[in-house]
Amino acid sequence: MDLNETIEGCKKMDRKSQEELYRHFYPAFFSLCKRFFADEHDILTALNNGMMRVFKHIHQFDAAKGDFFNWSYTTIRNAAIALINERKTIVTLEIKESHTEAFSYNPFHDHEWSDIYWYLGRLPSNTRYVCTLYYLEGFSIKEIASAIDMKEGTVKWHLSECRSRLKAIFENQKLNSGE
Amino acid sequence: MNEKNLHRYSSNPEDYPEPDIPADAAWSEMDQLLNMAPVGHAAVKSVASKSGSFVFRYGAKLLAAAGITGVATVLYFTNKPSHQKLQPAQAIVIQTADHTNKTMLADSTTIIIDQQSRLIIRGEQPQQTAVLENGAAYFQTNDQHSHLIVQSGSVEITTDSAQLFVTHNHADSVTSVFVQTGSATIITRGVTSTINAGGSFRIDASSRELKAAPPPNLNEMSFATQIFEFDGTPLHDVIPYLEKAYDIGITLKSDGMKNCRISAKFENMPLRQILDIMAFTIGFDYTLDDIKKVVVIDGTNTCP
Repeated sequence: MDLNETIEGCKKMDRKSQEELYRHFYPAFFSLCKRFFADEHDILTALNNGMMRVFKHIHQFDAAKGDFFNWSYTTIRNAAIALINERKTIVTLEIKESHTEAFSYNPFHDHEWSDIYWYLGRLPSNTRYVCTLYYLEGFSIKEIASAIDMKEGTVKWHLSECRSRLKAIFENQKLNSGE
Repeated sequence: MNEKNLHRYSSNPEDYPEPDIPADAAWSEMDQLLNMAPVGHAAVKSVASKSGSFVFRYGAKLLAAAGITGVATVLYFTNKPSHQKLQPAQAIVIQTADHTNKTMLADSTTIIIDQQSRLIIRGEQPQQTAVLENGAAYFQTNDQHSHLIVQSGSVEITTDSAQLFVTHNHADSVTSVFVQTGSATIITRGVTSTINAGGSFRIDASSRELKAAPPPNLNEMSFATQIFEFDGTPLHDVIPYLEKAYDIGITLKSDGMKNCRISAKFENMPLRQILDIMAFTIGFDYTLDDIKKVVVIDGTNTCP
């Protein structure tokens, strides 16, 4: 696929070009949305809402400013965050103190995708959103709080919850494997 | 974090696991979305030239439906919540007072009518018309081949597989339409427009033109969706929304707590769970009588 040609075709609303672009990036964007949502319907809703925005605004893409994949990746991720804002339940549990240093260790370090999805599937949905944005998407606590309209203390609480739940899973796995 | 291991910024399809949903199925859904909204998400597309044929096509059926109405049984439902499955060839007038009403049509379309509202359902399957004469109603059409027509003021709406919130104020003849999911086709003043998910519009009696409007507050639809969003909302304003959505009476015994503020979003949660969270946040005790459908809130906390 010649990406530049395909993008030009999409700018002219050519359906074949749109399909080509969609299919080419589908595995990457499906993987991105799957980090946030367990439900297949939610994954596809976020992905297709995002692709709709990509097709709608593709004329605004400027190759001189950056890579097309990164531009569309950000667009899809924003669509996923918009869906998170629809799905999330707000319960005000907060950590008031600054515990940022406690979150510096990444529990997903050195795990493969299949394992990461499995671990994410063990987390409550709100904790999963926060955990994915922080550890897999590199958002800061402040950025997460702003993106999904959550207090910073609540974001910290979810990160703490994520780590303690995963720790229990890891320890259980170690016990089962006899390490 | 080993970013290389995660392939976070790779666009190469081979760097990712096989998606759980095959690309063909996903593209098929995307293709349909593009067909519905070729100019993009939540956009309005005016197709004035199509309106004549549309009105002609449905106008004849509406006249037929009106003929049926003349000999049909007319039922009144007042002041009682009800869940009913409609029989064909009936014109049903639903007029609510202090309770909401939930009606399901034969094609599994659900209509939830707010308090103090009046809605008439005419015609028979597959061509039924719901006329909202006053108040608010939430429509959930599940069948992709649903032919339900919603009329309100000078507006005529058709949908397939959508969630739609319509309000009509009889006094000033203002109609508002919010498409929460799916898409809807709206005809007003002979102009056909397509509104996609997230689109919100109002029509004044004077101009009779479709004008973009801010989406409604989630709480306005909570009687149907059981989704609430409170942002520093005083308890005495929170209570009526909960009463409507859960069809229950709530008594606040302590006046001192009526100004205690709630900031939370609740989505499809059982009432008891919501009360537990609020009780923990504000500091009150409550009793819930499921049989009498009464909640009594009491406490010593005082909010200025």
